[in-house]
Amino acid sequence: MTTTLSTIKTHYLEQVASGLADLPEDDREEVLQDVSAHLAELDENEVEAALGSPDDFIAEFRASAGLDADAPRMRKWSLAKARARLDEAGRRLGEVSRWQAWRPLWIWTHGWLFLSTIAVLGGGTAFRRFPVPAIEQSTIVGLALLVAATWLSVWVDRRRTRTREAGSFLYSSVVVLLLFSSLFWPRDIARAYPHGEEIFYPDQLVGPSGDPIYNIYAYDLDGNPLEVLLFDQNGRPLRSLPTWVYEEAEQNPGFREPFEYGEGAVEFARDEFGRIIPNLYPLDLFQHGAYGLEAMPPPALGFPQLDDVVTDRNDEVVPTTITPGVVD
Amino acid sequence: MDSTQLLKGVLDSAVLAVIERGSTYGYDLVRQLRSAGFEDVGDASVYGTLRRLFNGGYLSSEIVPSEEGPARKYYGINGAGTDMLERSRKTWHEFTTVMNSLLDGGETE
Repeated sequence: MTTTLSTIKTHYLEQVASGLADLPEDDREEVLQDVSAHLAELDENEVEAALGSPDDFIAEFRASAGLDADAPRMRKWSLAKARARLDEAGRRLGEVSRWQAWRPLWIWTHGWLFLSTIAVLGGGTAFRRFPVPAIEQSTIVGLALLVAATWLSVWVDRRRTRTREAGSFLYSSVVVLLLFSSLFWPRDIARAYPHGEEIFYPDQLVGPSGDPIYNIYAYDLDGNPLEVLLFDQNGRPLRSLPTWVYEEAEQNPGFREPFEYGEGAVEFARDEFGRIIPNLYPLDLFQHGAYGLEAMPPPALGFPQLDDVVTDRNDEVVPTTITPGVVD
Repeated sequence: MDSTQLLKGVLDSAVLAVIERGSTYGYDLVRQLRSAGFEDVGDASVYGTLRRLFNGGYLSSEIVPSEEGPARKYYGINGAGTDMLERSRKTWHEFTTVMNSLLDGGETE
């Protein structure tokens, strides 16, 4: 049963490898090369009889090689051991896929985290869409940067492997920190969706093409503009601006000036207690102009024109669509 | 008598002496030590000693492909290793002379 026997030897070798995880990689590989050649000379069922248990082998090896007997097998967990296990998993993944030089998943993760780090260091607003980042609305640019970052991370990783001890702990810490912190970033990830010069917030209303809806204009059947309170199907007030704008406006009940956010500003209607009425539409929005903040006008197309095909329940013609080019 | 502790003290010299006869690889080194009489020597001790001597700059190594299995790493002795072995020989002979004298009932003063 070659497969079973081979598994026994491989398992033995892996255990020895984990017990020598604190050695420099080159050293460890050389030792494992010796042990591997030795194992090849043995029958599968005499491995432990000849070499002893993996624990005994490691203890004896470390004692005669003058290594610290305490590390790393005596510790239940260590960064070096975890890294060795992770590296081993990556190596085996590469072997399974027969694409050892480019362990795809592991390397891609490196690249993604690398790019994420750069994005965070650069202010954190440029990127974090998953799995392929979009930079300035361009997936192609994001993909190109991801490929570049992946290549760079492989290059850094190889250099790190050569001079591994110095930066190993710091590098591993950064990777672990990023992995953990990404679990608690849902809000930041949502905020970081790029949309042109601004940041697009998924908690806003979105049009069919994915562009955000900042304001809503309502008209009665005669074409008169209305002020309306809008709610969704669950009775929640519809809010078309980033959540933090509402939050900050709520925290400043006496603030009566246009509240600036990003590219524009908003002046919320407030009740008698100074509380904002977030879902009263249309919102009083402003944009930066040549002379400061300027009120944003209603849509240029104006009131929808009549479509004489569609009728309501009383068979009366109702306005439903905008006829392009016709201005109210 | 348990010779394990004695063995540990002389394993460096024993390994160098075997390799001085000709370059060899780990498994064969263990075999040669056993056939020379070191039956209790642990395989892991030999590999640990090899690693220490190699890192100390007393041995050279060369990877040689094998038709029977994975490539073998052959260890050879270099100048520093030869010097060390010579010093060990001298120390050993002086030591055994004294010990023989003591154990065989010679004068102690």
